[in-house]
Amino acid sequence: MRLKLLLFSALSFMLSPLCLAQQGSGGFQTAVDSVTSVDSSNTASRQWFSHQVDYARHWWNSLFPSKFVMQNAGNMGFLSGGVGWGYGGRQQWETGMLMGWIPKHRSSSAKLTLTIKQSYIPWSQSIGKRWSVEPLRVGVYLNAVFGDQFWAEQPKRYPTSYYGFSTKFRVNVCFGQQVSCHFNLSDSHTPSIVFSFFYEFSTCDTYIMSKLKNSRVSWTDIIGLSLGIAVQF
Amino acid sequence: MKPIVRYCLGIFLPSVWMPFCCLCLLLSSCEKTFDIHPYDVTLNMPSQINLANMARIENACEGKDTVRVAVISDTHEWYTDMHDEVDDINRHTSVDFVIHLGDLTNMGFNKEYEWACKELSRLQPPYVVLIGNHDHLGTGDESYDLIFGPRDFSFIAGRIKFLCLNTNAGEYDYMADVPNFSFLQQQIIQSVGDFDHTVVAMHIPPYSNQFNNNVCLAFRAYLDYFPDLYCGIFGHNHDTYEKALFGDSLMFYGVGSAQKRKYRIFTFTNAGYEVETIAF
Repeated sequence: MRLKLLLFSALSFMLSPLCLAQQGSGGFQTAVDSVTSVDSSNTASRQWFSHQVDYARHWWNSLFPSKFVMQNAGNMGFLSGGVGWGYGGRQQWETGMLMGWIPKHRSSSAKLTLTIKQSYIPWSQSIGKRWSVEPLRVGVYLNAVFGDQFWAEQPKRYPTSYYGFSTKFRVNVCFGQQVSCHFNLSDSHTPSIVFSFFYEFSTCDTYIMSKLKNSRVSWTDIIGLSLGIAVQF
Repeated sequence: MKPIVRYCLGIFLPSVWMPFCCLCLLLSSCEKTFDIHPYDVTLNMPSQINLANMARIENACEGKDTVRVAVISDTHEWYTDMHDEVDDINRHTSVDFVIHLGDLTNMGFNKEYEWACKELSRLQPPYVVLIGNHDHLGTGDESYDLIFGPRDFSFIAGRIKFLCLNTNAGEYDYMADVPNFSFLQQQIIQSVGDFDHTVVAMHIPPYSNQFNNNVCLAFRAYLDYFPDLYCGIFGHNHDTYEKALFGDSLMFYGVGSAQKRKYRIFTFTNAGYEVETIAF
């Protein structure tokens, strides 16, 4: 039941911008029209108002996810997919929200995970008109795995502060590189659709602790590779 | 282009997502390179180690008067200490087999099981592993079942029956048959006549947190049905000490964690037993 609710909320979250897009372009426009018809002589107040509307629309539009992301492995499931928001002057910041799927393999059931990811892409180097290379992308992400056997805080059955960790949440760090391909669809006014192909090396907090405590655990044991695609639209 | 069109274009662009999914499926065989999740129970685990090793122990100890057993416990994430511990046991060539009293992992991660199994596989004598409370966390209990086998088990070495019990009642919220009295009852009669002495091994000792302390005395009473009870051995407390937990003649021996760099070697004979504490 909880799983169904989760899937439903994830789906509605991904589809919600469709409704918002229509509201955003229609709703504010009528408000401006009605004001202009009442008081068309006062241009200063009209300018102020339309500036406010522009600002509100810009703010409203920035709530829309600007990219779709799909990634494999990386301690968040066999395959994860979700939406991302790119921002910053050079689009150097990226916040993502991904749902992941852990296959059943040899356990009793498959599991779902949810990841909130913050990435930073400091440099971008253009190669010709179409291609660009981002030599570094670093990120931090919080992963939650869903299931009754995983807890954020130890259940009441245990003695007070017996397990000083959470089995549900893992903090991961990653670093990698990406290549982007820019497509101009119609005219120069609209931003192009950007396909980014990236790879990342990632590890999680407890693996790092194990590595630091044990010289026998090697870096290659704890660091995993992950491949991904982001489509900015 | 309208945002709605762009959005639809993005979500239904199978030319990008489909090949990527196929690529991921192709790469799924490289489990070492791609970390799916700490709680992913993977396909490349060894399986039913305890069952195979119990048969080895029973064969090797058949007809022996003296059985030497190295007992280790609570190795958790101290793999370096565990490595030295394994090396030290391998130097004691007279040891017939090894019992690990549980808490092989810290959080029940797939990788933690892999790392610990890698160290254990270096042991020259055969070994059995009990389940500890930490091994239950997340999908750890499922991994344990796959790698080692049933959580309650017993085997006979020489003329001694070793009862290995799951006593982590707290992990089941005290709602399961832990300790399993049906198993104990069954073991009283199973292969009766093949053994004259009994040793009981567990992770959590009676009267400790997470043991089902409501049934401590009942547990003790059931043990009396076994012939010539030598002693009890337990882990969990990370300390090397001995105590008559029920205030009677039955001694319980605590085995320290790998981090404390001590373990015990028991020498069982038909006349009695001796305990050595080994520092490494």
